[in-house]
Amino acid sequence: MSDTPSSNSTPSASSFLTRLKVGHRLSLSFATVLSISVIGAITGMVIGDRYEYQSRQALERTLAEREVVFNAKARTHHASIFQRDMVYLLNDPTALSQSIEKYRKATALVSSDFASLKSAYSDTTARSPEELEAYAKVEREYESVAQSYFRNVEVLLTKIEALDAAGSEADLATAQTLLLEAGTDPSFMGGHMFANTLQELATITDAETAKEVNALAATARLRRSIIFLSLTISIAIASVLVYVISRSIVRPLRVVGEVAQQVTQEGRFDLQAPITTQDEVASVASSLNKLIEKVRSLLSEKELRAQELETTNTELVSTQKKMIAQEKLASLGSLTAGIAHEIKNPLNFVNNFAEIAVELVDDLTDDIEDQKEQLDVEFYGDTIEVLDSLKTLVGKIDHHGKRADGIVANMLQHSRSGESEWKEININELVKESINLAYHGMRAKQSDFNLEFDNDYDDSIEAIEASPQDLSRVFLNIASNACYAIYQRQLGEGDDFKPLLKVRTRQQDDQVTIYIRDNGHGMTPEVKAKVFDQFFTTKPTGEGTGLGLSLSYNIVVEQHQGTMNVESESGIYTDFIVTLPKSSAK
Amino acid sequence: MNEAIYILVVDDEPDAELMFRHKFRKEIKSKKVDFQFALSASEALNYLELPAHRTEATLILSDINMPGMNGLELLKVIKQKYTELPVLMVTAYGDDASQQTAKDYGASGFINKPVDFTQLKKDIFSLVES
Repeated sequence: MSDTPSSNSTPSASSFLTRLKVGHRLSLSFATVLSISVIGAITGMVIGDRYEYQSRQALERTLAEREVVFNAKARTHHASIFQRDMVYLLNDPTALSQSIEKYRKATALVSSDFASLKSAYSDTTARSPEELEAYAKVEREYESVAQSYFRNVEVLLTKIEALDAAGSEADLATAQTLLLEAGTDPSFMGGHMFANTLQELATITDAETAKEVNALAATARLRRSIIFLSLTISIAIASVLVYVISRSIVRPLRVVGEVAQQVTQEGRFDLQAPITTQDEVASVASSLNKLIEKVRSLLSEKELRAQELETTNTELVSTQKKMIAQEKLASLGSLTAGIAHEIKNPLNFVNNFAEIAVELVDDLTDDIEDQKEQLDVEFYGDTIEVLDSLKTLVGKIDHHGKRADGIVANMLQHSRSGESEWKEININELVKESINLAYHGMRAKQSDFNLEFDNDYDDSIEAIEASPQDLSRVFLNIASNACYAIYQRQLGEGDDFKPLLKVRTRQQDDQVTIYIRDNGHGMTPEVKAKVFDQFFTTKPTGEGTGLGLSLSYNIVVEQHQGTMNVESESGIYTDFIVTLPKSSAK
Repeated sequence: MNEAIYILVVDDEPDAELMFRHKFRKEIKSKKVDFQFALSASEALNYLELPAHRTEATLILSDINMPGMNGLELLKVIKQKYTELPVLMVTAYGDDASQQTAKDYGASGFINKPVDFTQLKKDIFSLVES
C-alpha cells in the first residue's frame, strides 16, 4: 500500500499486460508504436496534400482572375487613351485603320474579359466582402460607364472613318478636332474611370493572391506539424510502453530471483515464488516452485533416510552389544557350567559319603554303647572320644562339601543367565513378587524379623521386554540383601529401630527406573566400591557366596542394557537404583 | 509286597554302587531292596537281555550323562523293548528340555542331583506299590 499515486494509474494496463506473453506484449507495443507513427505520417501527408491541393486550386484561380483583371485593366487603359495615338496617324490611313482595328480588338477582349470575370465571380464562396464589393463596382461601371464609353468611341471612330483625313485638309482638321475634343470630353472619360475601378479590383486580387500563397505555405507547415506531432506521440507512447512492459517483466522476474536467492542462500525450502502473471515469467516461477518442491521433498526424504539409518544403526549397535554380552556370558557360562558340573559329581560323592560316614559313626557309637559293659573302661573311653572326633571331622567334611555345593549351584545359575526366555513383562508385578519372596524367605529363617513397606509403583509404566526369570533373580537378590541389612541393624539397635523398605518404580522416556531403599546398616565407601565384584561378600563365611550382586549386575547391565547403581551411607541406608530400557533391542 | 524291590542302577561312576549300597544298607539288610549296577547303558541292556534278569528287575534308575549311549537313549530303548518296566532318570543338569524329553520317552520320574535319598526312597516305594 506504499505505492505512489502514479503507479495506481497503471494497474489495469499492467494487469492486462501481465495476462499476455512477453513476446505478445513486445509485439503489441511495437505494433502500437509503429502504427501510431505510420498513421500519423500518412495522416499528415494526406491532410497536408489535401490542403495544399485546395490552396493551390484557390491560388491558381486567384491568379487566373488576377490576370483577367489585369488584362482588362490594361486593355481598358489602353483603349482610354487611343485618341492620343490616332491623332498622329490621321495622315496614314493604313496605320490609322490598323490602330482602329487594334482598338476594336481590345474592346472585344475587354468584353470577353468581363465575361470571364463575371463567370468567375458568379462563385462567391471564399471571397472577402471588399473583393465582392470591388467586383460589384466593376460590374456596375462596366454596364454603365464602360459600355457608353465604348459606344461613344465607336460613334467617333465611325465618323473618323467616314472622313478622308489623308486626302483633304478639312477632313483632317475635322478629325483632329473630333479626336482632341474627345480627349477633353467628359463622355470619353468613362474608359479611364473603368480602368481605375478595375485597378481597385486588381489591387484586391493581388492581396488575395498573396494570401493564397501564404495559405499554401501554411499547408506545408501543417503537414510538417502533423508528422512531427504523430512522431512525438509515438515516441512518448513508446517510452511509456517500454517502461510499463519492462516493469511488467522485470518486477515479477526480480521477485522470482529474490525467492530463488532466499531459497539457495538461506535454505528456506518452504518458500514459493508468487505467480502474478500468465506469461513466461509465470512459467519460470512455477518451474522454480516445482524445483523448490522437488528439492524439499528430496531433502526430507534424505533426512528420513538418515534417520532410518541412524535408528537402524542404533539398533544394530545395541543388538551387537547385547550379542557380545550374551556371547561372553554364554561362553563364560558354558565354561563355568562345565567346570561346575565336573566339580558337582565328585562333590556329590563327598557329601553323600560324608553323610553316610556320619551315619556309620553313629551306628558304631550305638553298637559300642550297647557293648559298654563288656569293654575295658579305658578302651571304651578312648574309642568314644575317637568316634566323637571322627563324627565332628566327618561332619565338617559334610558341612564344607555342602557349602561348596551351594557355590557350584550359584555358579550354575550364573552361567545359565542369558539363556532364558524374553517376553513383555509388567515390571511392577515382577518387583512386587520378588520382594515378597525375599521378605517371606527372611521371615522363614528369622521369625523375629519384621518390616514395614513404603511402596509407590507407577501404574503408567508400560510393558517392557525382558527376561523375567533373570530379572526376578536381580530383585530377589537386592531385596534379600536389604532384608539382611535391616535385620542386622535390628539386631544391633533393638526395638527402637523401625525397619522400612521403600520401593519406587518410575517411567522416564524410554526407560523405567526401580528404586529399592532399605534403612539397614548401610555400606562403607570401601564396601560400596566392591559390591558388584564376584565373590565379594560381607556376610559371615558360609552365608553368602559373593555372587548375587555380581550376577544381578551382569543381568541388568549386559543382558538388559540397563544400569545398576547403589547409593549408601554406612549405618543409615542403602538404595539400589536399577534402570531398564523398555526394549533392549530385538 | 513281600518280594524285594530289584533296582538296576545305571551310572558311569563306579562309586555310585558303594553309595547306593550304604544309603540303602538298612533296606538291603531287611531284604526290602536289592541292587544291580551297570556302568554303561550297553551293560544295562546286555543285562536285561537275559529273560531271568528282566523279570527280576522291578525298576531302573539311570543317570543321563554317560559316555557312549546316554540315559535318555537308554530310556527310549528300554521303553520300546520293555514297556512295563518303570524308569527313573537322574541328572545333574536339571534343564527343562531333557526333563521334557524324559517325560516324552515315558520316564516314570525325574530326579535332580544331588540326590535326596529320603525322597528317592519314598518315590521308589510309591512307584512300586502303584
